Amino acid sequence: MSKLKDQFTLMAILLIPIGVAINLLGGTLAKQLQMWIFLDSIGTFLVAMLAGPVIGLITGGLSVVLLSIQDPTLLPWAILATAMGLVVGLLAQQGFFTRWGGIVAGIVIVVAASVLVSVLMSIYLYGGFTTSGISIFTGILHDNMGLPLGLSVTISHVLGETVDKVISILVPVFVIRALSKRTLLKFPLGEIYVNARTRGTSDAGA
Amino acid sequence: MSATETIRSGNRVRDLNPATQVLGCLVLAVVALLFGLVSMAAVVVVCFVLAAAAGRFVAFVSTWAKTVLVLSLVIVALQTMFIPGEEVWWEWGPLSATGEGFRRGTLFASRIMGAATPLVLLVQLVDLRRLVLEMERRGISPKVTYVFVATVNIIPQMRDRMGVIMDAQRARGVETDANWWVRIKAFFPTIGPLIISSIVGVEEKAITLEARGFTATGPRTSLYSIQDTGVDRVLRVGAWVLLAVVVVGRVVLWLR
Repeated sequence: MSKLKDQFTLMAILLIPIGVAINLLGGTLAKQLQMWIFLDSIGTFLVAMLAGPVIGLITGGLSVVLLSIQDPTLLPWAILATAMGLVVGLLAQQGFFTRWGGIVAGIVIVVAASVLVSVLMSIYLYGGFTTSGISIFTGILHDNMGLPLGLSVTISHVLGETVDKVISILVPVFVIRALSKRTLLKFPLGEIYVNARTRGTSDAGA
Repeated sequence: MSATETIRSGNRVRDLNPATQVLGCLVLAVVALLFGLVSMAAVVVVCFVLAAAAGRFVAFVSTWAKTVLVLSLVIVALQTMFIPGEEVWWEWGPLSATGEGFRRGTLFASRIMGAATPLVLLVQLVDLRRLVLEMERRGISPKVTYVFVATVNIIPQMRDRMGVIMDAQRARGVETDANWWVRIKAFFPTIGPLIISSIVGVEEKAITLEARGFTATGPRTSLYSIQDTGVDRVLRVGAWVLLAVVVVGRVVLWLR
């Protein structure tokens, strides 16, 4: 249990509101710039990468709870957001986001997990269709191409999720690269990135 | 306690203890889910009445219509169109409305409506400051309530900062309103500096909080107080009893 307590430093706790705000603003900005992806988990991923799975999980959950104040039909997606924070945090603890190979593997795992959870939720809670634009695509696949509902929902989600998660993981990765060692070391997982950087200086100059 | 000030709005429903409001709305949501369309309709009516009693009818209806109602209608429409079935009502190009789809759609939509309507009501009833006070009174750590309040407060601040960054980037030639690809490219120079400056600012916040005794242990005092009246207690007991009755009733109905 001492490991769990280590994650709850004051710096980590203060990171949660910022992560939530980044999530909401990323989502707003994506809407404002009329991009068709959500980009509303950048903050969760960043916090999970810096402070570990538990803080990441809380950030994801709280973001959705706050969004639900305006639209309570979103509340069930808190399950997805907490799962995402947890997965990214666990990967970060293992040092996945310090090398390019690890980042690619991390993206694959995160997309797979998010498709799994969101497909299950779409089908069992909302019956396969929601208000998001991707639902039309689900409908076309299901009705016109004769694919079973589960498969149609999966295909349409894989497309949406891949683009969304690639960006949502790469932004925090580059942000962490831009942070100074001094700042990084204040966060629970900061040491992982600093160590990777020190190792990398000899050959890559990162 | 005499030095503290009780937060009141003057409306009896909104001045109930936040714990009572939260429990009441959750019980309503459970009731709505347990007995199908009839209980869903009853709960929605109860929510409308409570919203009117709280003097928040207009705000409640407008939020409700924009979110819950829209999603429910979309679900019914899409299910009707896309779920194949024997009982075809009419066809229009590739689309065909079926009775099976319509029934499936109303089933999902009524679940969503039943669970979400009490939540819309809850948001209209609860005052964040009172909710936080009640949470602390019930022994929830101030760290938890701080995260809650700080999040709500930080969003407008960061939105302002995002506006400043966008203006600055536009001033140095980053386009934010052209075709799709240009807009995607504008996303990164906006979100990047926003994130980095916020993270660097975390340390300052930590020092400020430490200087004000945030991590100090021991009892705390608050400038404001909150009331837990006899009416609140009676209502909460009533809510628990109602919950027990409907759950037992549902189980009995299943077993028969």
